[in-house]
Amino acid sequence: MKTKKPVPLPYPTDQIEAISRDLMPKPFGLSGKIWVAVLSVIFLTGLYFYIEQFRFGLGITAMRDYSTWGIYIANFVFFVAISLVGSLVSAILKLSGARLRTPLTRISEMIAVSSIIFAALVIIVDMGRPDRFLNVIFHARIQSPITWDVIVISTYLTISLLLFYLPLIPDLAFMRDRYVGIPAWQKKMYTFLALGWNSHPGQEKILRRAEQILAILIIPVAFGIHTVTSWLFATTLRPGWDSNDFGPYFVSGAFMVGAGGVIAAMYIFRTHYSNWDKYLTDKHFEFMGRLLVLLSLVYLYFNINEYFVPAYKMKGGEAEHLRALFHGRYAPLFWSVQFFGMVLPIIVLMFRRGRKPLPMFIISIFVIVGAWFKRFLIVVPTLSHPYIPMDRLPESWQHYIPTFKEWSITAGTLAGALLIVTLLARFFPAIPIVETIEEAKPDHNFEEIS
Amino acid sequence: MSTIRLIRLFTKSLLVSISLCFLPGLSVAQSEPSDSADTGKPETSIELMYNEANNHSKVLTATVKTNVKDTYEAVKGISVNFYQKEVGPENLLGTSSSNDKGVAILVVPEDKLSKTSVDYTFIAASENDAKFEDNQEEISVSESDFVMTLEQGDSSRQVLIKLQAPDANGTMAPVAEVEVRLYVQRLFGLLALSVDPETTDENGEISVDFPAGIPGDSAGNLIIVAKVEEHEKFGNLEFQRKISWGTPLIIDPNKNRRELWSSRANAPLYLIFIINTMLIGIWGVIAYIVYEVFKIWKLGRQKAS
Repeated sequence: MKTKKPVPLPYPTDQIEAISRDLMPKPFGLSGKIWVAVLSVIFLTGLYFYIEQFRFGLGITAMRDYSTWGIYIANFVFFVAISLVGSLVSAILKLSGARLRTPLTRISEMIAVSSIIFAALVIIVDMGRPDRFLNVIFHARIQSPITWDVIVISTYLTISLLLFYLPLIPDLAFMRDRYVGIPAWQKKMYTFLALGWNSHPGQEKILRRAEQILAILIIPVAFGIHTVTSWLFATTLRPGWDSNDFGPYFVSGAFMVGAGGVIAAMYIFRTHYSNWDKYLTDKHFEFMGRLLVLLSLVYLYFNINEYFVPAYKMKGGEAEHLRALFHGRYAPLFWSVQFFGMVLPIIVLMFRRGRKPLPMFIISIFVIVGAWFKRFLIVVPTLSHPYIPMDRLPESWQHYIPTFKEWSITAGTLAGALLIVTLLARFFPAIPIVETIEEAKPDHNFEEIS
Repeated sequence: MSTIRLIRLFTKSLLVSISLCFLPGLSVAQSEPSDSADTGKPETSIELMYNEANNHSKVLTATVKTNVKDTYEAVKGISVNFYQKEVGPENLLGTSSSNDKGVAILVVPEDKLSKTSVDYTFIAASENDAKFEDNQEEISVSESDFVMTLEQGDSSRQVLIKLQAPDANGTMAPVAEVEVRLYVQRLFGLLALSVDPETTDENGEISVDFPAGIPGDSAGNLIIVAKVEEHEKFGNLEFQRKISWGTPLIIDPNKNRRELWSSRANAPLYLIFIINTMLIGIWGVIAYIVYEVFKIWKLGRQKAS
């Protein structure tokens, strides 16, 4: 096989070699293999129970006449929320010229792509008859928020994939030319996906323009995806959902959990790969910590609006719903989520010491777990308190306690999303290599990129 | 804590016992599952109801259920024999098989009914079934005459109800203090005309002003229904009549056409326009980006060649 001459890069070779050695995707070590095995087992367990659900129907879940939406939909909202991080880092930070964003963009896009794929899959999991999914398209009512959701999710997925792929092209070419000792199929994959990239000025001009357009385009679509998701709730007349603020409430919460997701991933990558503390520095954590405080404060503001105003009035069915949250059966979960998932991160991250990598990693886990249960609290208690009184129902139908199989399927989707991020990081650089090399130049002009 | 629980339990038990002792036997009767230790076959419960509609058709409804994991499930396809007075071939009124909901229905043949008595005892029995234990349930009802008439004056519309039953001499006499409910038939059920039921006076009569403004069909027709429900002596009695006392429902085909709540074929034009414009705009940009990617590939090929 004839070896192509590598595309020349105008930098010192030793520096290029050091960066590429650090950032090139590496085969799994023992801990990586264990991590993938554990995720695969959880994912396959979920798949097994999903096949059972497919055969026997949603009867295997705890969803009944009243709680028609359970942890599947809470999980869907969570996935949509965390996927917004792609637009936050790749678009908003890019357009605002944030210098420290470079090592965060690819990680964010990996999280965004995997989350949005599973958001779409979870909707199908929630369908009793998934074979009828195409009816949503072929018999769509344009007036229905569900139709809007299908449209906006597929659009966001497409843009996220492009926003993941386009900045990857120079890195793919770099690996095509310089990555040695890898299987032939991997080399072929890089060659195919690199689209013949050779740093031609025309190619660079096109790529830069395309990235810029996508960065602008994804912002309204990202706002749209989570606003429409919030409208799935807010356009129905139910306690807890009947709100005008649900769009910004959901979007602000999504950015918050997205930032938490990036911080957790940053910490794991930094500790797992050697020398990555040179690329994901304390400054990056400091930057993300400040961003997370800001996003948490915005979300806190919307939370106060969402709960304080109806609690002040305490009218009818709304009051029953709020009592269940404040001091009823959901109170322990509600107050835990509010405190550990929102108040505590704000307090800790206000201090410089709290914005160090390890405390931030712990806080980000609180934020992510809190965000998942927050979606549970948005979806489930409302359905347990309908305006029409529950009458002549079996006791078990009046409450929603997810079954083991439901939990397994949900855990399977979460593991699946993590598995996609893991596999993407296995074959593609989680930190852009070429961009990092360019930025390592002493005379590099950041404004040029931003 | 445990003392309070004990007191609550005792109070509940006492109330249930008192209720069971003093409640009269209703025309809806339900049997308890019997001991099946001998055959080992599952037990059934039978709920038997008597319904009479428009003063002529007498209907017996038996609902058969069985206990599965502490819940009662309908028994489908079980054969139920209906008898009068007592179980025996000479008293057999007919046989019916239960449907998906475990319900077996028999329209009582008038020619087989006893002509000598105005009090009837009906029995529903599942017998010699291959899967289930034998069981039976009986119900006693009396003959009655339940009539509803509708009168229209110059400015009023009245619903008149009269309930009579044979006295000791066999002559029809008014029945007082019987609760009657009035309804109007709607698409998915019955709309009650009042919260509380009406009660027959000493003449066995009820007179109710019928409210104006209830929407009917295109000709203004309504179906008015009077019911005596689960009476201990007469069972379920029903009388219904159709009359044009409603407001004609005129559907303007031009109204409610293109609205948010219309069918997909009648979506508002502005919504179709906005969504399609957004779709074309965004997906047009995506298509442009894909074309740009194609150009990158083309430039790469040119350089390579």
